[in-house]
Amino acid sequence: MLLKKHFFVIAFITITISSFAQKRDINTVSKNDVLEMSIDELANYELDEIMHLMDIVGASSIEELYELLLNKNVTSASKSNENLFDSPLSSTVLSHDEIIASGATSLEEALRLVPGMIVREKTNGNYDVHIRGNDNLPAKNMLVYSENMNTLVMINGRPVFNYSHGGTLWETLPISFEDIDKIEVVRGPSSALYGPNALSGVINIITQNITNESALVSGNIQAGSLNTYIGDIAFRKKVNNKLGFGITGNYEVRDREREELLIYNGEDEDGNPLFTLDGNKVGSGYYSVDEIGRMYNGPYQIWEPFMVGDQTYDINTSFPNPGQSKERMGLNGYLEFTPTENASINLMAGYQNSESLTSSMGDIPSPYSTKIAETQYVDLRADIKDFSFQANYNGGTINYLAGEEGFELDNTQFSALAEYNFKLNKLSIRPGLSYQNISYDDSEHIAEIGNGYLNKKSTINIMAASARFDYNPTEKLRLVAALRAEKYNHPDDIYASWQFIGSYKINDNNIIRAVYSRANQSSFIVNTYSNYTWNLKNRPYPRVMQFDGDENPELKTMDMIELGYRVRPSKSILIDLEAFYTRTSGFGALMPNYTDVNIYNALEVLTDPSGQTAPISVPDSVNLKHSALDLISKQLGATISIDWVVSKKLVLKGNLTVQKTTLDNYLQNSRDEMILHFATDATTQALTDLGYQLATGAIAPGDIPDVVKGSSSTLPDILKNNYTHKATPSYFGGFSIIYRPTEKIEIYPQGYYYGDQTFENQYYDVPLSSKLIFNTKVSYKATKSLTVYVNGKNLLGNTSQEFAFMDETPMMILAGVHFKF
Amino acid sequence: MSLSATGQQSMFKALFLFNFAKYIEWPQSSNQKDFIIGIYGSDDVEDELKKLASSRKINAKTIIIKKVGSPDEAKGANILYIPTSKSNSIDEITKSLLNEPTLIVTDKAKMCNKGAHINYALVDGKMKFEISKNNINSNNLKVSPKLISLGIEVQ
Repeated sequence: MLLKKHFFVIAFITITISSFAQKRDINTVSKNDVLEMSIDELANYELDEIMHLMDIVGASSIEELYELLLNKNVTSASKSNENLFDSPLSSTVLSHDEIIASGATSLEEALRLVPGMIVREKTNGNYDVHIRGNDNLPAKNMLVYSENMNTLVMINGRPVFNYSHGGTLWETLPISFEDIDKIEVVRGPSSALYGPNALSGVINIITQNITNESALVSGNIQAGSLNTYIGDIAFRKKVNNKLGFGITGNYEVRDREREELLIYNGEDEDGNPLFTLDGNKVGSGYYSVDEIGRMYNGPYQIWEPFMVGDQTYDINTSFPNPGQSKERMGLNGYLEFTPTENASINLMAGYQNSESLTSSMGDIPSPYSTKIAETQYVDLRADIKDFSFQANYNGGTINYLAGEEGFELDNTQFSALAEYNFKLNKLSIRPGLSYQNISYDDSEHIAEIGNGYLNKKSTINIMAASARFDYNPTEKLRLVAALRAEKYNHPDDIYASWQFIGSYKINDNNIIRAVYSRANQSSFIVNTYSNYTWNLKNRPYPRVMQFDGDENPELKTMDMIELGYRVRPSKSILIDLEAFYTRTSGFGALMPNYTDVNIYNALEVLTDPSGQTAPISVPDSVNLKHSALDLISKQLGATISIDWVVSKKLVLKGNLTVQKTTLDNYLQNSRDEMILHFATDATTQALTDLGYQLATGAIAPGDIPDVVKGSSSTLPDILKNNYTHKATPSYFGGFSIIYRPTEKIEIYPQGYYYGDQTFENQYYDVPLSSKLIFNTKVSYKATKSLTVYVNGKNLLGNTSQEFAFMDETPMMILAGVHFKF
Repeated sequence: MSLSATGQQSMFKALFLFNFAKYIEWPQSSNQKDFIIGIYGSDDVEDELKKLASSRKINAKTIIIKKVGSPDEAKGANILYIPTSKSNSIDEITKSLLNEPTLIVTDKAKMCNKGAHINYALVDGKMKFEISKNNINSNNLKVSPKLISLGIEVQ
């Protein structure tokens, strides 16, 4: 009995000691320390102490919501951490938690939550993403020109841009949600800060830091309709105060809403079907891979198999998985080293492979093609006091057009950037130097030199110097000037970009800003180095098409004037208004340069006294060259976004952009119409010359050859001004409602909408009707570490196409878990 | 934004309830074996209280968390917590607990005017509590001046 009593005393003392041992000094604990404490630990404190701790952590959820939603920080607008309210540019920050709560199933879909974004689904999980617009310019050309070449996407400031054709290959990004801390979007020209291709803005995806508070293991796994499986998992560990590491992995696979592929341009001018399938006349439509393999255009197979070395390329090489829209996996490693308080070194490396079936970047009988990529990267970031340095390597192999020889390229890209931030009283100056070396090489993937697009290793070098001046003459007034000069190897020219910004903070709740900025595109490999001889085996004519680059291409440039106003009418509401006017010029495209024709009945035509004999003339070879266009795009628009924390249970968000884009010097003929125009002109000219020679006796009728050749490069005089560009919807935006009836349940209905559009392709103008895509995610927080959810996509069943020629958008239901241990 | 943004709230409410007991004196409390905290209806605070009950004691007594469905069932509880969702029942509860030594804690504005002893309140977005000495005394409970000083006293 005595023993038992002693035991209790010892146990009591032990518990007391351990309780006291857990009790930390409330005057020195951080918010994160408190957040880490369990209720049992907190129970060691007296009521007054708990109240103090509660103040530290801001336990009142409403305060925390204000902080989380209305008082975010952004780094991409100025390259320094600042309150989003004070950001001198139109900026939005999407946090990891917001992305997870919204039920977005991909990074691109998450961008639908950001004001000013146009996001269209092409096939399940593959998207077209634009900031503000200027979509599909120049129009009336190949689908590759619909890729967004105006936005620079980065991961921690490392460009993940496709310098081969321009654009972002979203499925090749190696990271997923559990890698991400936040996504920052800056709208408007930003090349002065980030280098070329940030015309309409930048999307900077920022990964999570490894801290003592990082979950050891976190993940998000969901599965549902269309055999969609999406999962990612992260493991992070802070070894000691100086060293942390992390490993993340992701996998995603999805099916399309159908297995068939669209074959287009299958009718003649009178609408008669051009093709045959098993002897039956057929035109444009959806066909299975097997059917396409059996289709003919006259005597020519439309997808004729051919040999590359000893390998047969056929429709199955082009579409190995016609029913699957996307499969991707990625692995990333992180190492963070903080040797002193003022120094940090971050090393990140990773690998990804992906296959996506989406809009084609080439010119084939189907608007679809398969892209296959396998890439790696290493990124080193070092910050030592005010000096920052970043160097990275991106490399790998990307097949932009599976099943077509010459579109598989090895890519090596090195970038280095050094900047220093001088702080002088009210002025900070950030000079910087950067260098990029970008090479693409197809020679390893073609049977012989001459079969490829480049037929060699082709390189773009960019050297740049920049400086940013941030001056606060008074507490309220801020003046920013950022300047950058870039020297390219091709074009052999220097391009300048800039931002001039003035912001005035009227008081804590009102800030106005004005921006004038310019940004430019870089040169792209295909624009500069194309040397592709396309022997058209599967079409009646022309016999050959040659695509040539221009080693001195003009680079697209955008100028913008923007006015912005942010206001907090009350503590719970944030309203952001931005009005912008942009002018874009320097467009270029692979355009018909000249057409050679063969005339097979010249003598008959010229000697027919009735003049009724029509010439039999067919284009023999066509030359296309990357050419500067006089096209000018002018866009006027405005965006409003409102975030309102109504109560701790209800948060409302909404945004709307309205815009109008008009084009000057707009070429209203499609590429193919221009080729035909050249052909007609070449025929007329050749016959006129010959007729003159016959009439003057310079040539005898018997000397006229059986096949008369002609050539023309005279462009049709058909440029239009004030043409309304309809590929960008006149309005678009989104809204979300975050409703939390209890602390364990969260309901997140969310909508994205846009107005009517017309997509102008080389073959057709495709009208796309206005649409509302409505999603809802319902989450149940089973424990602190585990949330289960159901995720409904496109619940209104608005299945209409969002992108020309691509799949309809299915309704989808997914279920998943999100965990954090 | 995650659910964690609000997860802290219930935990602190539970911690407050646990701590209030240190400043309240119940009559003949020594005769009772357990310390009973009643929850009127269901609320997330219950889960947090259960965690506390598993490892802690109040006045050396085992903490029992009792789910209460009617005012009558609340009798015998040392503390009764009425979540926001059940605030409408305040009148019948105070009537039923008239003179009973039960500390009535609520979570809706102006509840102390309706007979609540302690009421959680948001002041400038921060969680505080209102406290009515008169209401507490009328239920034969004694309250330490320290608790009154920590709260917002309602006359």
